[in-house]
Amino acid sequence: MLRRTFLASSLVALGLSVGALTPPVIAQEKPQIWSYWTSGAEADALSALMNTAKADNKEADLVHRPISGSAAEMRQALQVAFLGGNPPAVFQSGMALELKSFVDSGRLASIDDVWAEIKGAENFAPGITKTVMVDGKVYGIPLNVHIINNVFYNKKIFAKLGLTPPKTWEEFKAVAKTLKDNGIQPLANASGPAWTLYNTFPAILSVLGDEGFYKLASGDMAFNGPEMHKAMQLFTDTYVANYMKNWSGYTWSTAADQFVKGNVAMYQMGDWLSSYLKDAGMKPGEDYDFFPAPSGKNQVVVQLDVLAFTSTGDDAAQKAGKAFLKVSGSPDGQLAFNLKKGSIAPNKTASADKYDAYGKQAFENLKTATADNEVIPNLKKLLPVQLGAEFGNQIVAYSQNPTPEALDEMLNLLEDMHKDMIDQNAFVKW
Amino acid sequence: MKAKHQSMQAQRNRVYVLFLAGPVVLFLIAYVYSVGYTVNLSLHSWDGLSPVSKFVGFDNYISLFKSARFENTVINNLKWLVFYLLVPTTLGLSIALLLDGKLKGEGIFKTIIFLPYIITPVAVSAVWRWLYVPDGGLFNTLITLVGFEDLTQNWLGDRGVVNFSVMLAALWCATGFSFLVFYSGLKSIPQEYIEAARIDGASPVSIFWNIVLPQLWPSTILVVGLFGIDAMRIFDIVWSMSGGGPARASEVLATQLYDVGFSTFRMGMASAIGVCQLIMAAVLILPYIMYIARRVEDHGE
Repeated sequence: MLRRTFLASSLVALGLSVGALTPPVIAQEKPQIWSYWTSGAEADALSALMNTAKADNKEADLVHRPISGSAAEMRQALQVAFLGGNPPAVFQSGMALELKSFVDSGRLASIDDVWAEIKGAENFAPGITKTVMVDGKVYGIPLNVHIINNVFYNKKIFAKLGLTPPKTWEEFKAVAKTLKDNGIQPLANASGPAWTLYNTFPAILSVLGDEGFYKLASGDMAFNGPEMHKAMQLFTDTYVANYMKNWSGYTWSTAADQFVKGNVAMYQMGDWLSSYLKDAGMKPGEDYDFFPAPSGKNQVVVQLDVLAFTSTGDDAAQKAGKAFLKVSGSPDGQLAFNLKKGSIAPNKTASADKYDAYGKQAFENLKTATADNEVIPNLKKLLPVQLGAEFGNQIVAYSQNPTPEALDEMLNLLEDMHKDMIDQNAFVKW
Repeated sequence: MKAKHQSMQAQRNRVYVLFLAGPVVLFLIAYVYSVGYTVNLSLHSWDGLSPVSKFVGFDNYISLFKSARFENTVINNLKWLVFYLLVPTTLGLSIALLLDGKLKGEGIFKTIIFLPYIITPVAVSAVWRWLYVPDGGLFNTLITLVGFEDLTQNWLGDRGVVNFSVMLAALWCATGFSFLVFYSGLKSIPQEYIEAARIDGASPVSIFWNIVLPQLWPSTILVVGLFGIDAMRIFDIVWSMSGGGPARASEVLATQLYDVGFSTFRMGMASAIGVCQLIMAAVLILPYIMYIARRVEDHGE
């Protein structure tokens, strides 16, 4: 008797648990935008954009749902929403490859019409368009640019030693040698799977050219061919040979502290370093300045956040989402957001007047690069996620022990993975 | 009479069932269902987003077992196991023995030693990361000050050193726990045993080996068991201190699972890692649980 009742109750329980796991479809009251811009300047930037959107078009009225954390938590939240039927109209996404996985699983809708309305093809650099495009269709709006190939340098040290910002790799090596001879470590770097990899981009661009860079990104070039060997060798001779002692034991900000202290004279880092140095009491233009890493053609390597458009099948949400994205891509919307966040508007028609000193200079660089078609997206975000992560980790290990054997080993390993990724159709095509 | 007895019996059974249903439901949902789901997922390839996942059989396991990364991770977890079972345990015991009834203001020492254990691991990591900064961090500065500059380390940046650096921080936390357990264990040893031994002329060493240590056996079991479990599921201190780096040198199973699942979107592979972790933990911890269960039974009699 007891046993039978127990069995029955377990079955009921099992039924309950299965029932509980099928989520009910809840009607959404107002279309939402999800982001992890939840505090400080980032949150202010988003509300500035939302206010601009509302003022511009009543339909573009979205409710913000903050997701605490970052890209990983966003993905988890979206995962649940897509399975449970209550996704946002628009969400904050990483660029390029991050969009592809959503597109491949049918979760995004193209906004080619919005792109045409805001004259995307004209107003955004082709390199930036690549960050929102999968298989020839646009799925989001590029919102804020951060430049990651500028080398910041200590102006006072340079002045004292009579150094000028190098324009070629030979000049770079000469500067580094003078610094070393005077007991100053030339180049800062930090641990983690991103920073060292970002440091390789100038060398890769230099050897492969823009075209080769994109070939590598889309899976059309071998990792262990002569070009990549040469690029990595250049990276080794210019950067790795000049990294500060024990760089792998620092985070990007503790390495920046070494820069502030004057223990190290140069640091290739994203432009958020500028705000960090300012907070630490250095004056831009006086104590520190930057030069583009000498990759040959003044390329500007960028990373940016994207506002992606979900395919929900809910008409009201689709309409509001598109209206919102239209404003987000417009000069007004872009400026409203970027002035607060401290980044640069990718839309080249956004006016530069209101940026701070660094912002103005960066905007000018971006504008020139846009005109020259030299705006290049961050390679790590173009490669299949797994391959980008592997490259990031391998390059840290290699840079700690830069022997020719280690180089071969790294490139062969990446090439194996490159082939796997081709089989899995993991590369993005534009 | 008989009918009444039966109905009372039935009513009692219903009460049993009602009370049992709660834990049973919880167990089924939170444990059986999720483990089953994970095992099933580990046989699929899924990016966490697609409406469909692809059945791949044991492919995830095969590529795991072939990968040098996974091998290194398993070895790291075993290192953590050895570390946890030996180092904080012995250190906690030694401090407990040193302090036991020998000092004034024991309470203060007890508090100071126990304090690190209650600090959240993420905060511990943040502090220790500062101590470990190669240039200007406390450790290297001190080592240089006392004249051993050659011994300064790239604590979190050297692939050969990073695991030990994280373990040192973990040691700082974990010792407080083992200390407290052993200390209370020592307090509960009847003084008569020790006095009797002393009168019989036993040396302090012999008293320790033959009386104190056997009496501390329950404490030891507790400490070793919980530390063993900690070693298998360690995540937070590694993740927040080194992120598993540099170049994955300090990865453990839980951080690898997180990275594979949520940074590179391979849910099937991540589930396979989770299943391996579960099996490893079971193999290592099952004998312990069986031992405890037997002990409880013995005591029951």
